Amino acid sequence: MYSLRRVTFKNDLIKNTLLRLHSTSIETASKQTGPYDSELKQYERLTNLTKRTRQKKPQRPPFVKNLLLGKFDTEILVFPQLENEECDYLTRDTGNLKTLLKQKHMVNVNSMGDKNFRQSLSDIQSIGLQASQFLDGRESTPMEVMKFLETYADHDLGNNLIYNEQLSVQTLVKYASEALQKKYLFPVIKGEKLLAFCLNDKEFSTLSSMKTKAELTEDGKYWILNGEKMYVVNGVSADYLIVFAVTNISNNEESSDVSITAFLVEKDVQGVSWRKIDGSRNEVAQISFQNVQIPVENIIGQVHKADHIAKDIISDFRLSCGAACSTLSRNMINNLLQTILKESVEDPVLYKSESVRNKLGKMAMNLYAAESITYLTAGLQDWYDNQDVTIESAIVKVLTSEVAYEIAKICLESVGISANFKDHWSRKYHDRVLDYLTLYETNESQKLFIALMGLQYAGVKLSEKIKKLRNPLFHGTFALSRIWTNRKNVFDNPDLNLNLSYFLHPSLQQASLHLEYCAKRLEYGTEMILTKHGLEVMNKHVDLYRLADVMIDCYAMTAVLARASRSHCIGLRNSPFELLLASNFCYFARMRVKNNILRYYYVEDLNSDKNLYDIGKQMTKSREYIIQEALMRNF
Amino acid sequence: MFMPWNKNKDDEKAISVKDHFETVKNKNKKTYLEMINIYINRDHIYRRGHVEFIYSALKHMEEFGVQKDLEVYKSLIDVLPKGKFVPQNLIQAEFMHYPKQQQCIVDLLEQMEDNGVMPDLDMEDQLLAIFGSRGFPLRKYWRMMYWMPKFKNMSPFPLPNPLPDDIFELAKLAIERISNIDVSNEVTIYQSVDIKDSIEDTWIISAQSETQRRLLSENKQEDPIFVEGAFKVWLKGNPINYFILRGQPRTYTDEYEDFDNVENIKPLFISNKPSVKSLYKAVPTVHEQQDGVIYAVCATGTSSKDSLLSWIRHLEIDRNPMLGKLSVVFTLRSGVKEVAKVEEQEQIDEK
Repeated sequence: MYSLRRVTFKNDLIKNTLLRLHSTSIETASKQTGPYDSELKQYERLTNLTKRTRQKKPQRPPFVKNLLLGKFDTEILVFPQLENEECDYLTRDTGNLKTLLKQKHMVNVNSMGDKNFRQSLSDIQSIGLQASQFLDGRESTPMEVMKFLETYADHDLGNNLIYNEQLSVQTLVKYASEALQKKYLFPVIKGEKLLAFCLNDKEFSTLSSMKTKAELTEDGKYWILNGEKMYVVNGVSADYLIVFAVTNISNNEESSDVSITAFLVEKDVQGVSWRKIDGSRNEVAQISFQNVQIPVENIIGQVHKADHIAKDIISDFRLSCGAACSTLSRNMINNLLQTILKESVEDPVLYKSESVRNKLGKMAMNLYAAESITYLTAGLQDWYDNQDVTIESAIVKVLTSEVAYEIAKICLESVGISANFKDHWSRKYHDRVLDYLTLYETNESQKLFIALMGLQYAGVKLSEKIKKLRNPLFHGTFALSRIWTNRKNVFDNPDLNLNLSYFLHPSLQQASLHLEYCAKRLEYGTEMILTKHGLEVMNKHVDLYRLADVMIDCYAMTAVLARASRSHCIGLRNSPFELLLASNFCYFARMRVKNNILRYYYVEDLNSDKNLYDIGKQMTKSREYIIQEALMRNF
Repeated sequence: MFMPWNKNKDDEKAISVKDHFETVKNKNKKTYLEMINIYINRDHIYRRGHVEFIYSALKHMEEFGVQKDLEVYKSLIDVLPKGKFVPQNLIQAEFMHYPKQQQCIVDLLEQMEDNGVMPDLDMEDQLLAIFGSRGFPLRKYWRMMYWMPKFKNMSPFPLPNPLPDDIFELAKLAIERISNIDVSNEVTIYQSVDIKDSIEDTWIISAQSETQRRLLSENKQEDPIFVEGAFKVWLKGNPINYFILRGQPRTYTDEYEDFDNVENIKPLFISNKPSVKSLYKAVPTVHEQQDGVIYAVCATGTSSKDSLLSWIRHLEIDRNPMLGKLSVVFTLRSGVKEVAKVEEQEQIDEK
């Protein structure tokens, strides 16, 4: 284990660290008589502890949410970085992990059930990245975790490793009591056992529609769990399951609220049965529970409060998609380059063609955005105390998975005939990328989430203004004065007065203007969409998708500009190309944003939306594709 | 079109031909075409009285069941000579050459239109050969060919063409059409003999959706529900009787959230489907109408009270346990009404 500051063993230190250990758990389910006695045995390990010296900065207001109100937090334009020492250790350790995963006995492993595989990982402390060091975890910061996850994704089981780390282990690390952590988390970190995260029901759409239920027995010692969980990744080889179940339904007049609790269930207890769902590479299982007895100590976090756990964990999990997709994209680009260079022997030389170079540049541009946005978001979590990144992490998920999919498509097209064979690398990567589009959450639902989260925040602040805007006849002077003040927005020519170029390298001045334009249009777009639909905006999915696209583009532009500016200022190798990539990305993003916002109020576009809606309506009525065959005759 | 010569078609001065169509015993398409053939062969050269023949043939079409048959109309037109009626100069063309013959064919086309028979392209050639390109029948034909294809597929409730003869198939189409209002509706076919005490053996076509099942289970125990009918639904001239299972109407308040207040936008953190949230406090389903809640629709082979009773029993077995606890009142409009009233009295007394 690396140490930033080797500390010698002292009495007060032990007390402090033990106190810290206790403070990480939410509550201790079982009271121990002498909590310190058992801990004392671990004390050799304490001598090896590293102490994090870096302090977190105070929380900033949420970035993307404020963008909707036209407030641009220029602090975010400072791209986050690690301390020198941290960076060195991180490079060394991820390097170790990389070499380990490349070794022959690791490469060929194709199941998480392989104990040796997990233990080898555990030996270099690569499971339990954020777990307490008392449990042999690493206590990494979010940015370091991202780097580890990127390395994971190199392996065929990368997806499974990330699921295990980011969903299951993290749930226990963040929310389980100390006793639970010791009993269940420690063996997992040691590689002896495996966890699985069971959230999805058979017909799962929202948390509140969950059908898996648990009831407390009369003596209050056990919970009885009933239900079925689908698509449990790692469910085949897992030993312990983290199960979310409905524990209380309170029926109000207006709505019924369900409370959800997370349980830790051992897979071999009576009542748990499972079967492998074939056809997925991810060892997905269906697990059913019939009157499973769970002792009350096995509750993770607080009773009835697990929806917060799910939200928190899933939000982090979305972020991890960024790391995985970046790696996949990078590998695909490198592989494609190899293929192209190999094929470039004859004249005319393939790699010199405009088509190839344009493709490579486009892929690099997209990958650059994906990387930047991932590390910027991780950095926000890392640098600022308790920073709200719910929207940002969802944006990372959408953008990076779409980038990876786009790159996979380009690869298939460029490779051509050989991509017709299943075992070709381009097909394999394409399949892996599909996981990020389908498993768990779709980008479509994420986009709705992004847009609505933003509007929820903006709606509260803009409420009074929107009321006036929606009732112009009651607010005559306001309406008239707005015609004047709003004229530049209507003509798609907003005042660019955010002066973002003050915070960036001068070479990025033009690109910073693009970002300013987009930020201004986003502010206007938010007002437009709320004025147009009012509270009904929740159901206006088409416009919401557009708003989400604009939000994604604005955030991505911020990330690439911040990164390119930093790289060029500190003189990283190839940083001039970073400037080019960033400027180009901003240019394309500006065009997309312009188009998306204009579509809110262009009459032709409103009509085309309506037309598509009507066609869809008729098709649901007749339950099929209604159009007659092209060769049909009427007489 | 005002035509003075058309004013009294059945004028006594007109040549009255003996109506051979009435004397035919076996009235079907074959004999009808035979009649036309006999007429053509009888007077091969002059073919006297062909206008009168066509009029009388048109009159008897329905008896022979050929009023929707394009082939028959074409062979009727074929009775007229080719080339004889084509105008040879401007005056003839302008002043309706052979008016009676032209009017006769216009009437024939009119009858086709009334019966929804669309002419085909062969007919154009026929009319062109008989009356020339300036004849009124051809102009009528062109107008028909402009409008009829447009109207042919206008119905929002398309039916198979030709319509099945079987009453069971027809009833199934009718029930499918009625229940289509809720896309999640399922049409089930029960047999009344499957119920132990039933007297009759007939089919029951029943339609009920998941929503209707839920609504039925929410019906209060003290409120009776009604089997009502028979109502009629028409399928291209075929009336089909159907019955409904109806409950008391429910009241709804028209309360809704303030559309202008955007403080209450609620995103769903995890949602696999695009969420839809209604701003009205309560939105009635399509089954909850002002005069009652419709729980199910059916048509039976006999439309009798016994078959309806079997229907209710079947519904009870088929995921509607609530039906056993409710009093079901039969208010039928047909002759069995009296019986239903006695039953109604008994059932209310039981409660």
